[in-house]
Amino acid sequence: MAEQIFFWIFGALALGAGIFVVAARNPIHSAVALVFCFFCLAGVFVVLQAHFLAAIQVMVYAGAIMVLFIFVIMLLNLSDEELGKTKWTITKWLGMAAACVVGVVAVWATQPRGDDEPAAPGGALRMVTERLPSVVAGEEMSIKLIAAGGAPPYTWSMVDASSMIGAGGRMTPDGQLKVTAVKKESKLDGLDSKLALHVTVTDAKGARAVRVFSVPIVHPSFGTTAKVGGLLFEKYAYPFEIVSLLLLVAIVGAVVMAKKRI
Amino acid sequence: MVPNEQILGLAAVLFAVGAIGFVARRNVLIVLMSVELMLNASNLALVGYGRLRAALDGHVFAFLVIAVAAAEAAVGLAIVIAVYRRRRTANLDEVKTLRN
Repeated sequence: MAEQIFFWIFGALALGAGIFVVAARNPIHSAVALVFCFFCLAGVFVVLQAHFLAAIQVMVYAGAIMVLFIFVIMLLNLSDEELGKTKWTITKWLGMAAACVVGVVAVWATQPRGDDEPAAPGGALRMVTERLPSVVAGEEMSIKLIAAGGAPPYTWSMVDASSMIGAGGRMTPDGQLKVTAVKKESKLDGLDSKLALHVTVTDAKGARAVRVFSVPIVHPSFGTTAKVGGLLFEKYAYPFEIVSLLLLVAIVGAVVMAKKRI
Repeated sequence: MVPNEQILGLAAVLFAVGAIGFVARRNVLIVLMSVELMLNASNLALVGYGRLRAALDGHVFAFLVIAVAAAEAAVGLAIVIAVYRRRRTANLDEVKTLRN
């Protein structure tokens, strides 16, 4: 619960700062608001257990990139005349409308809706829930599983096939699943440790449907520099090298571009 | 634990704000800042999905996005300075041709 409160405090501040970035007339005001927005997003990252990214966000974005922006703004020292008057052409209104539509559609597409459950009652008994979200170690996750077809009412049962001590799930016959994972990380629990839950649903006529859910566990070390760095230097070593090459090219390009005569 | 829908909703709204700034504003610097805003929104979505799957790959992608954003800002601002030297303007509406 505290997580959610802080998420929305930082999220609302980031959103307000983002709107100010777009609305402010003076570029310096925009830049300072953007720095504040990046700090708030770093707070959101901390809430989401992305500690490494939060640190990088403050150092690279709020530190390096924004210093570059403010430096250029002050170097240009734009007067009101050079800033130019905003012309509200029809294409600009169309572009704004399209951006608003993109935003509304994106929000609508990410929100859960009731009509996800199939209305057709016929057909063989099947489990509608295909995948379970991750569970944070030390917290309890409660989720309602859904089945369709066959002859309701359904009876649910679950066997925990994972061999983790102190972790597991409980299931009530009406389909409410509660999953917990202990907040103790042994050396053996890698990032890939998952719970394996064999869930069986039985309908009134005795037909069965079985599905094995694998529930990933978010450990306390999730998102720390050690874990992200390990992944970065093993699985993603090649993209990492390509990015370093890209940065080198960008440095050379910026230097060439900023020369007196091109 | 914050539900994934709320993370993605915040990311979508932030992205839309950046997109509106990108098309509505004509000051080059504010347009570039809107791009940074959109990149941050995508980072937030990547982190949200990484948490949903308890996989750190999303964090690595967000890290790469930050590195690419740094390169983009460096080259973009160098172009802004080069254009300002020749044209004495930072208004995108007045920059229409590639030569001179």
